[in-house]
Amino acid sequence: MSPSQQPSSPNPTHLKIRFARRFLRALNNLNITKTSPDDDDDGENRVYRRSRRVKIAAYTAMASVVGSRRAWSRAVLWKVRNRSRNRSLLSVRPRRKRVDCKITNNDHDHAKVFVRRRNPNPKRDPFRDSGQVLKLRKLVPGAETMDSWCLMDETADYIKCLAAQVEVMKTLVDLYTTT
Amino acid sequence: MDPPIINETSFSAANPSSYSLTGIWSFSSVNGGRNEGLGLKIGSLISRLGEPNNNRDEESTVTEHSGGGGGGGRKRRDANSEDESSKLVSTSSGNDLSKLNGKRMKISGSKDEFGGCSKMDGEGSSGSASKGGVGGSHNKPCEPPKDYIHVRARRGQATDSHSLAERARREKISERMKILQDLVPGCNKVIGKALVLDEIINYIQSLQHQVEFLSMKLEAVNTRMNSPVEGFPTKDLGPPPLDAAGFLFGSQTARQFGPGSQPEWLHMQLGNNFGRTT
Repeated sequence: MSPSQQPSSPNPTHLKIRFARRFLRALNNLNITKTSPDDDDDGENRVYRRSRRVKIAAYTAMASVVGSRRAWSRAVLWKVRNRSRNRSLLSVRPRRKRVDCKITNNDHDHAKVFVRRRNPNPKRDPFRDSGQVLKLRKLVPGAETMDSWCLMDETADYIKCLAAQVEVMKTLVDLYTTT
Repeated sequence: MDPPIINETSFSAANPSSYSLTGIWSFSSVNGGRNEGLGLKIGSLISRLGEPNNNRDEESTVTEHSGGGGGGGRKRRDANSEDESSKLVSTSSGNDLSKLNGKRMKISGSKDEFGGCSKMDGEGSSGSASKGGVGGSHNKPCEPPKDYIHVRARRGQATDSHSLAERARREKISERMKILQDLVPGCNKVIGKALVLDEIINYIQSLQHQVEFLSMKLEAVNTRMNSPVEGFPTKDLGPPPLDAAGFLFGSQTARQFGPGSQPEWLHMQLGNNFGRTT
C-alpha cells in the first residue's frame, strides 16, 4: 500500500513499445476470433461490442505491461480476469463504469468478498470529502480505497501510462488509415 | 553539606516521578537559600547539557513552583502545557511545602533568567509528551519549527496531534500534487488545489475519451482488413524492440495497402512518435 517506495514506471519509450506489442497481439487475437461469437447481432451493436473489446484489449495490454506494481493496473487486471470468468453473467456496459463499481478493494485478498463496497472507510480521510477528489477516485481504477497521497501517486502513474497508450493508439490508427 | 551532591542526586533521576520534589525542598530548608538557588542553577545546567529528556522534568518543576507560589504564572503554564507529570507533582508536593514559597519563587525566577530560550524547548517537549500520553518521546524527530509550537501549545492535546499529523499529510499531498502538475500539460500556471484537480480530472477524462475514440477507429480499421492476418510476428521478436515494432507495423500495413509503397514513411513516422529514429 505504499507505491511511493516502489520503483517508478519504466522508460516511456520502452513502455510504449511493450504496450504496442501486447496490444497488437491482442488485436490479432480479436481478428482471429471475431467472426465466431456474434454473427446474429445487428450492425450497430456489433460495432459497439467490438470497439469495446478493442478498448478492453488496450487497457489490459497497458495494465499487463505495468504489471502488479501499481494499484490501478492491479485493479484493471483483476477486473479483466473477473470479467472473463463470468462473462456470461455480465451485461453490456461501458468499461469505465464496470471498473468503478466493481473493483473497489483490490489490494487485499478480500477483493472478491467486497465486490460492491462503495465507500468502505469514509471517515479515514477528510480530504476525500471534496468533490473533485471523489471524481478523481472514480476516474482512476482501484482508487476508491486509497489514501489521498497514494491516490496522487497512482494518478501520476496512471496519467503517464494513459498518455503513452493514447500515443501508441494514435500511431496505430494513423498507420492503418493512411493511404 | 555541599549543594552539588544534592543537585546530582536530584537531577540525575530519569523519570519525573522518582525525582521527588519533597526531598529536594526538605534539603533546601535545611540549607541556606542562596546555596540552594545556585545549586539548582548548576543542576539545571547539568541536566540541560545531559540528556534532553530532563528538559521536561525541569519544565514540570517550574510549573510546580509557580503553582505553589500561586502567581499568575500558574495560569499561563496550565494554559500552555497540561502535562500529566506536572499535575501529579504539584498535587503531591503542594501541601507540605507552602512554607517555602518565597524561596521557590526565587528559584523559579532564577531559572527564568537562566534559560530563556531553552524553556521553549521544554515547552515543546512537554507538549509532545502530553500528546503521546506518558511516553511521548517518539514525536520529537518530526517537530515543526517554533511558530507551530506556539499554535500547538495554545490549543488542547487532541488538536495538537491532529494538527501535526494533518500538516504532515498535507505536505505529502501537496508535494505529489506538484508532480502531477508537472505531468499534466498546461497545469503549471494554474494556482489553487481545486483548479489543479479540475485540470487533472479533465486531462484524465480526455485521455480516456481518446482511448475510446481510438479504439472505435481501430475497430473499424480492424474489421475493414477482414482477412485475419496469420499472425503478427510478436512471438519471435528479438531484443531490439523498436526495430521489431517498426517491422511489425511496416509489414502489416504493407500487406494491407500494397507492397512496398509505405514502409519508409512508416518507419519515419514511428521514429517520430517513439522519439527515436529507426
